[in-house]
Amino acid sequence: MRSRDGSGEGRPVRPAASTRQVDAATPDATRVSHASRVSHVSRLARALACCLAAQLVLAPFVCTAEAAAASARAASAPASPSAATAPGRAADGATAVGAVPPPGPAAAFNPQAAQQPPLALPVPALTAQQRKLLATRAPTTANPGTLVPGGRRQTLTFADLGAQDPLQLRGIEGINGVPFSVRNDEVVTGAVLHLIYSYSPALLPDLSQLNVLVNGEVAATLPLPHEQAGITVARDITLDPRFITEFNHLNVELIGHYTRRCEDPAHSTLWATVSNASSLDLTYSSLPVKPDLGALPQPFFDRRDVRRLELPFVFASKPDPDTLAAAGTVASWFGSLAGYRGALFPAQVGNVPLSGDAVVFALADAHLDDVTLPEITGPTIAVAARGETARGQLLLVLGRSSEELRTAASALALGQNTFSGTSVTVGQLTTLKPRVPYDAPRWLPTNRPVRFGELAEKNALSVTGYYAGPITVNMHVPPDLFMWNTKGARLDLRYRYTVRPRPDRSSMNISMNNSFVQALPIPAISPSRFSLKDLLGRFGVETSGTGVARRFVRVPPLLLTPRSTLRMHFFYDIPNTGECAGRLMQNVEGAIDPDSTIDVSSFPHYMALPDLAAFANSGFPFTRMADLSRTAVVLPDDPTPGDYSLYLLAMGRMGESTGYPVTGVTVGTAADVNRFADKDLLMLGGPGRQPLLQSWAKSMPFSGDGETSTFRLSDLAFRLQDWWHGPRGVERAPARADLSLVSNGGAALIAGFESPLRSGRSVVALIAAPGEPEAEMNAALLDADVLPSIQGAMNVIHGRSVTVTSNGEAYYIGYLSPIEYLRWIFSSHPLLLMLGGVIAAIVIAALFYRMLRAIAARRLKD
Amino acid sequence: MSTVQSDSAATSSGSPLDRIANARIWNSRVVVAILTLFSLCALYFVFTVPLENPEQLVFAVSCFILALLFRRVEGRYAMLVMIMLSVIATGRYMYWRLTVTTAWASPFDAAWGLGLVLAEVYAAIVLLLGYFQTAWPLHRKPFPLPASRAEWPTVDVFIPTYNEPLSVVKPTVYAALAMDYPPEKMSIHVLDDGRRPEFKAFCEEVGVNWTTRTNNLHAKAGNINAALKITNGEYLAIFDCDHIPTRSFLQICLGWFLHDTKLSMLQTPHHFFSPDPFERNLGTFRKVPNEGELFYGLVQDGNDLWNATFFCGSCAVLRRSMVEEIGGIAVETVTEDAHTALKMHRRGHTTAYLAIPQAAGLATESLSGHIGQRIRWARGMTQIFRIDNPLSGKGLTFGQRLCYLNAMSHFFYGIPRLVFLTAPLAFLFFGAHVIQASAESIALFALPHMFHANVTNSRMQSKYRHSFWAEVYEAVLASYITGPTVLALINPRLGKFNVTAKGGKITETYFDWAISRPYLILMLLNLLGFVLGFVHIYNNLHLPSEVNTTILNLAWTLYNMLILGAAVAAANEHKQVRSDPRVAMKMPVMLRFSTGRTLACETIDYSEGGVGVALPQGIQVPMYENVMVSLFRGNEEYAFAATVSFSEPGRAGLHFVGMSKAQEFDFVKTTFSRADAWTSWADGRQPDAPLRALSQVLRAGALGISGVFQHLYSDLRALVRRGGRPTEQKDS
Repeated sequence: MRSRDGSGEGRPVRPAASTRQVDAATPDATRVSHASRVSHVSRLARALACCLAAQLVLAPFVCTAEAAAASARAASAPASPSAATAPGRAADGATAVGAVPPPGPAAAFNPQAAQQPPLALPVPALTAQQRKLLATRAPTTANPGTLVPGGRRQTLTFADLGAQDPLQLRGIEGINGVPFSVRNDEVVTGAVLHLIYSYSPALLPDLSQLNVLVNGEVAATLPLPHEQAGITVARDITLDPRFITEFNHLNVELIGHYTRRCEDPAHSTLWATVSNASSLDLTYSSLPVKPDLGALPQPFFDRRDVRRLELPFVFASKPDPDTLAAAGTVASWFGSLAGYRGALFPAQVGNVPLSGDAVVFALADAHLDDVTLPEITGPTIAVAARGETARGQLLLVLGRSSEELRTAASALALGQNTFSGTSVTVGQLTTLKPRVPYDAPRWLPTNRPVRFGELAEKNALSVTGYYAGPITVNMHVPPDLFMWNTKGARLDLRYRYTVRPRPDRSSMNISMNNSFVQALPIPAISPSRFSLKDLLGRFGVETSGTGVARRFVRVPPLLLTPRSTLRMHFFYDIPNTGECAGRLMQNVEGAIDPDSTIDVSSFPHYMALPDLAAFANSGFPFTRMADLSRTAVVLPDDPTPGDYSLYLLAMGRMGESTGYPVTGVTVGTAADVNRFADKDLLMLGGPGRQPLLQSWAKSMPFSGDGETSTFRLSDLAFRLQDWWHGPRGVERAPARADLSLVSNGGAALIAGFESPLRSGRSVVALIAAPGEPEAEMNAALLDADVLPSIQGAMNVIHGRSVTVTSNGEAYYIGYLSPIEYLRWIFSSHPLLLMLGGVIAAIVIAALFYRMLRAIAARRLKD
Repeated sequence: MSTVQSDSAATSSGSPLDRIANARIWNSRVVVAILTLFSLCALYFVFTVPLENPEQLVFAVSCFILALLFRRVEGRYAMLVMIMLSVIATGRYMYWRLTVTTAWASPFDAAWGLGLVLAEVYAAIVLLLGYFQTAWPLHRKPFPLPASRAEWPTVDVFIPTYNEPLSVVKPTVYAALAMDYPPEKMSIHVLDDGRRPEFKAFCEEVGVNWTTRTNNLHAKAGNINAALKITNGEYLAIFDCDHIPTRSFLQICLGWFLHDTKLSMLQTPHHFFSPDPFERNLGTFRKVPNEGELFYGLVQDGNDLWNATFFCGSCAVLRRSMVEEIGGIAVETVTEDAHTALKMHRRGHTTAYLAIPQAAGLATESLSGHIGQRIRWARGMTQIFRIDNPLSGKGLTFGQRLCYLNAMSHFFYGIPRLVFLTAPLAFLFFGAHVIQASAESIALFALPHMFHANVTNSRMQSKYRHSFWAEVYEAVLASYITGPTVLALINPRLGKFNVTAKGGKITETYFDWAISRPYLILMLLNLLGFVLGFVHIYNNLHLPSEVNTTILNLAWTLYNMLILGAAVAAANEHKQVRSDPRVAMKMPVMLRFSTGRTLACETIDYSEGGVGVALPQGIQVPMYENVMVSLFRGNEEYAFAATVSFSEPGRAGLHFVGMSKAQEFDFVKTTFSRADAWTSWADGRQPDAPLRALSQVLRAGALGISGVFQHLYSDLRALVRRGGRPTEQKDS
């Protein structure tokens, strides 16, 4: 700790200069606008440097933030003479709160120009391309931003922080914002908000303002001058880092008034929009963290960090299958932790990365530069700090044999809370109960109705106010639910609402994945008005003015996708108080009872494969067993670290899908494949490296040698099969892609097909040549906007675009009761159904004929 | 084409289909079990598998084409296959209807929708029961009596009467006297509940017993029961006073009783030689089977298979011992006849049906009378349903229970029929979406159900009921029998008995506004809905689904309107030209003119007052000329004095004059009581063709609608002219 401080002390000024250079060079450093601006930045940088210096000199670690703030105040006062009369107030009246410089002058925002014109210009907010870039940009933990002494500085846009759309501010007190959080091993020492916004020209400049709130405290107040109304403008706002804690909310509040007289608080001219390209530029100071297993998964993963996890995996020597399985287990654990952020695991063999955190897999006899392994007496998990320059820690997964590695990895992934110290040897791993299909912790259980309380936090199930957003419940539905000819999943909704004073248009709208399902009216009377309890209420028993209702809603089958978001939006009709009625009372609430349930237990598991969408979204069919105990990964011959990375990425995806580590996965090569007949296969590699691509060419939905003649379209058996499954079977489009695409290095392929080894088993092949396409594959499997386009049986991934080239030959997995199966088949074969009916008619008529004839004969004999 | 095969089907190989039914595999129980299981599974899937609209279209069309192909194949087996195909279409429709379309958006929709669903369920149940009941008409043949007359049993012939004029009863008594049966073994009793001296005098004159009683308790049933106490024949033949038996009646009917010792009752058809109100007012006499023919031609014959033929009050023979065993004719209900049969069935006795018309009578002359009679039947059947439900109680076989159930539930059609006639109005008036499905789906599921039922019934009932006429008959009666059946269901004692009046004459064509009020109201509502429908389409041209739904409802309304039009037409009472209905019959006749010339020719028709003759070579006879008419019975010749009352080249109408009682007797003997008098009644009638029947019904409907306006015009004019009493003479 001391030594680190010392090293920082050595170069206090240089980083400031470098920051400046970096700022100027960074394409989106739009803040640098004109000469005074430049000087301001330099002042700011100097202030920052001073602050850091002061921090180092003063040294009391605990109150770093306060110290930084204090020193910043001290530094800024003389540095900004223009603001001397009113500290923290800019020339145009914008104020900052705390000991920070006042917000920079508002300037029209032009994202394309590095140099802005001195006057604000009305410009389009963001082009579509930029907007796309905004959504796809995914900073990872491996990219620390700009390194500064003792810490780093990084800019995250609101989009990175989770705002998928621009923030809308409405009404006289519209408020909206984004959350952000700070890693446990860092503190924020400086924060600049780069706010891009526009506002209504109708706002009265002297009454209206934009407040920037950090954790509810006003961090800045921005005027809304009439000259810049209606155009997109940008402003830099320095935030007081004292406001910033671990978990933070950055909100922007519009105090808007359009008239001095009576005012309609819901008037439509009361608007302001904050672009989600707005960014938060935070300077962090690293806190020294002692290696401790008890802190796991920190510092390797910190849930406060919204960035994508990028954690290098290091193998001491060329890994054998069990070591890879162990690595896969750890990767899936991290993938599960990373969740929506996504996780990348660049693999290296033989050496650790120069800096940053890494996970190391090593056997007892292994040797790695710069890493001293503890003594290994069994499966061992350890953490070790890296050298000063490397900045990071190593997570060591060790063992005398690769089996012990697996044990260690499983112990790490399953029992992470039981460790402490820097090294622990896993004794006996308690044998786990074998998993059963579909028991993944993150998947919606399919054997019982599931309470909403299990799916969402209780406080996330209630909303307040007229402008409240929807209540969302996310769920991960197994993709193979067979919901044909059903009304869909059954929701048993119990909800509470503020009873309306008089009948109006209020309703609770239910939507699934942004598709409307049903609107339940919010009535003016309590639904249980005439209950016994209510009658008793007249005799003194307390009753609430809150309506409680219970409704059964069916979510149509098509809307229930593997990753589903159920939104319940309470829309309260705003009482037409008109002008002069004053402030709108936000006295309406809505809540979904945690005991509400969703029930998919009545649906059998049965689906047509190949369906790469199921693979991309849920890792299906591999994740059917949450621990992947029925999955084998077939690596290419002579795999490269790139193959390992892809494999680890895939395992991370599995973990993300299931929430359970892949402790049961099997790894092998093409030579072992016959042992994996009973397993679903995940095949990696490219032409020339994966022999199965040639030997199984006939089973694949593409040609192995570039000729399309391998397709047996004339094959009677297949025709018959196609007919049997009728329009519900997937059509087989001739493949336009072949492996030459991959060989030429242009693209990567994802293909799914039935295992040639056993029917009902699946193969998913991730085919890429080493190098660039691998990154494309990574992007395809992680990026939210590429993922949905992965479909069918075969996808060509080129850059960020996905082309579905084939739907493959359908096969079916799962079990349908014979009755259900026949109903399903018959429903697409009316002639077959008719034939059955006619045969039945003929048979039954014959039986009746003989019976009636016998009766008649008996009657006439009498 | 004939749907009815001889009973020798058992041995004939017939069509290839029959060979399937006669194949040897059916003798293996294992095979039968497997095939049955397969068929039941297949039926389950056929009923329940959901199909999208195009697939349902393929399914429905192919099934219907198959049904049409089977229709061309002769034999009962092909008919049973058609029944099964219809069952499939109906089962599929009902499953879809009940599972998919019964979620309603509002209580209002639900109220209408539930009503329609229940009506459809009722219709489907009655359809299936009907198939069961008529799947195999037994076609019983007369069983010969023993050669020795000494072994023939003794018979009492009962002719109950209450208020009918003597002229109506006379032919019946004559025909009873003329029956070929040893006179010592047959005694004829006129059971006069009217206690009329002229009846007594007539009976004494012709030599039959006249009995009466001191009260009129239990009406006809009580009358017969009273007579049972004072008679002692082994069997009793019962004829309504206007049912004229043929001479062969007893010989034909009694054979089965001697053969089958458990037989308690044998029923023969009620045949009417005068047109009923439908036939007269719609002009369908002898062209379209009348309302009763289905029952007597097919239903009772089908019942016979299940030993469930029931007594119809007349033209039947009963075994005295068994009637006495159940305490005489049942008196608990107003349909004593059916209840009597039910009671005997419960005792394990059998009944039989001979589908040979062996008696004939006059149909009710006016629509109001006809309706009154049907109300009585409906009420009586409902009473039995309540107090002696055939589904419960002991002694009945499964088949008997179902047959009785159908006989009774048939009369509950009132409310369902009214629902069908008004269901589209719920949408057209109030926009109620009664069926929660698109118009296309409704058409794709409902039409096969209706088409199959229609084609199958058309084949089964070809000779006895033409397609779509049932709708007209039911539409006419629905509004009248609804009340009595509902009341009787609530309490069997509610409602009152009314006697069917017969033998009157409608002297003037008039429109019965009173009786047709319900149809006119329904018609007006439908007309209004029809107009509203077009307005609705015009307003919703941009909404294809709404337009389709409206078109579907409009089509339905149009159909309803035409059916109601036919019902209205039935209320348009046509003038009855002659007091005595003419019976078409070709038989040899000899005319002896006053000049001494004789002419042998053939009759065209006859009535109680005279005969029509066809004259050879276009001969024309002078009007009012006196002739002697000779009719023959076997080799015997009977001569009657007559005058020519109608004459044209080749034809003459002869009116009898000054007939004595003996001559009247002779005339009945040579005409009404001929053994073959009624057997060829349906000759020359076209078999059913659904499309032709539809066009007939629709034409009747269109004429009915236009007739309403004509009568409205003329009656209003008459009202203005006569000062407000236009309909004084029409109460009958």
